[in-house]
Amino acid sequence: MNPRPLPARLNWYWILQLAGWNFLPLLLVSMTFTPNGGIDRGSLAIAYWGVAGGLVISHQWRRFLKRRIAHNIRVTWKTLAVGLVVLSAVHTPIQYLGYLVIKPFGEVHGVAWLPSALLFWWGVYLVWTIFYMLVAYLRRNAGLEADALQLQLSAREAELRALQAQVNPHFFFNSMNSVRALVYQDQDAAAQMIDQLASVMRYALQSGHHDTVPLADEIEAVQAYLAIEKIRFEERMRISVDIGAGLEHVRIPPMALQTLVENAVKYGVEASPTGSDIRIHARRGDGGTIHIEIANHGAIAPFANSTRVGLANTRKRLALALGAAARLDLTEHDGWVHATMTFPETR
Amino acid sequence: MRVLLIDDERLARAELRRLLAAHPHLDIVGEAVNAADGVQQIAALKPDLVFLDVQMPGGSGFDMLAALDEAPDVIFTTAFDQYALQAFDVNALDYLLKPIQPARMAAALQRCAMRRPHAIGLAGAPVSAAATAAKKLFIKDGERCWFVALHAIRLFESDGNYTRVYFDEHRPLTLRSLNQLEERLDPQRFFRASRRHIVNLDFVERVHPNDAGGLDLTLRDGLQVEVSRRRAPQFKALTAL
Repeated sequence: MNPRPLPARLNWYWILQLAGWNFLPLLLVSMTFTPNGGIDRGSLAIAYWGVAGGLVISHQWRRFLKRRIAHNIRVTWKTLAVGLVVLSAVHTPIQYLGYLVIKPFGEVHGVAWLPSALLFWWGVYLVWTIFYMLVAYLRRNAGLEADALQLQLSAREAELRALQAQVNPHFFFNSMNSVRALVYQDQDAAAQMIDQLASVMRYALQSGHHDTVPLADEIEAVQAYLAIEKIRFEERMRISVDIGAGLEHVRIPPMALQTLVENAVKYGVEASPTGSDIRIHARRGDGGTIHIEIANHGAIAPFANSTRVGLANTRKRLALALGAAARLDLTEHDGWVHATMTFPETR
Repeated sequence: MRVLLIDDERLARAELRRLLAAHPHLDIVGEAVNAADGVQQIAALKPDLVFLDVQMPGGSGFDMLAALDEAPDVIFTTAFDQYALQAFDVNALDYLLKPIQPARMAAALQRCAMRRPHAIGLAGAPVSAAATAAKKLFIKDGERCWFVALHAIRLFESDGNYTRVYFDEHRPLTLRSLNQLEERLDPQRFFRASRRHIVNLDFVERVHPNDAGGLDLTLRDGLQVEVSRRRAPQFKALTAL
């Protein structure tokens, strides 16, 4: 339980409403107060008659305004002007009724009092409305700001999830095809491939739950993935993995390495009749940086939009999870393509 | 029926072989492991039907087909590219999704057998024409692909190094020269009207002599093709005018 702070729990509408309306008889008392006469009971009674009427009428007025604001209907000056006239026109007879009942100043004669009474109540409701609208708009703006902030936060979260849940369907269905063939050729190999496929899929699907994972976990999933691809591509794929000592606990965004390795397989092995080496090399660099490099034979595909998207996604995820200093570079050198993640070591 | 399997993965080819074992009328004459190998094997083995993986090293299945002079019947096999396949305007195109289900395989083979001329026996068409009818050209123009039966093509028009192919409402470019195409086309049906045109005689509607001593042909869709003076006698002989 996380109780909201006291000011947030108070009903500020009723506090201000009661305080505001009670200010009216106070004003009246201070005005009619005479050193010898004391407080006139009649005046006080008629004042509270007015307060009671005012509370009821202003509450209805508030319901009207609140509904408009909640439904994003603009409260125009015209609405307010007409409303104020109606309010004073309603309150004045009620007050007149009070005068008839209480008779604070004796019998009421004529209608000479009417214009000033209408004007008085019009003024009272004008002040009330100004206060109410002021508070309502301040609150609404604060609410909008909070909403915008919340929206930004959830959009970022959704983006991260979407980026992480990149299960490659091409890989999945090709693997299924290989398993189908293996079932008739080598049942043990088929069973093992199913296990590996299960761990790759599970890892990919769960990756959305964490911002970062230990490198060792990611490497395990990558190894399972590569084992499957090795069954598909056989001698066309040659794998070497070299993780520097003590780097197992370095944290990286899940599926970041996996995505780069998938790219290396796609453009190195799958696209070439002779296949490719796939080298994964993680090491500590100067100044507390970590370098993780994925290399394959080939050239950077000039028109491969899919790679660009994949790289841009991985780059974004690195920055989101590890900060702006995290980098991802794609270089080509001596017939090798290198994808290198560089980021500062945390903790 | 002679069948060639083209897939870069050994297991995928093994799986195809196993699935095809249920169809003893098919004779698997060979396997190819990439696009270049595929082109060679098709030329050497002259298969009737090719199982072709879409994604292959050194060029896609489409690139491979576009490089062929004459496309055999093709059943594409793919893991997850059916959207790419659906984007192509190829009515005669069959594809199987990996892993391939035996029932789907049987259905695809049945459709393939239906398309073969000896099965449908084109009404009134002589045997040689029926053989031509079965022949198809695979055209890849940019991202679009067509599998077009030769008998549906009205006109070939030379356009630089390319040739524009007119059929239905399409007129894509193919990277084949008019001479190259002429060698393979049935001369009874396709007539070299000039340096720039080869016309399908079945589509010629009207013939008018022109001032240059040649002929003006009007095709069924209103296209005008000129027969040069030098070739006009050949045209008359061929069409017994």
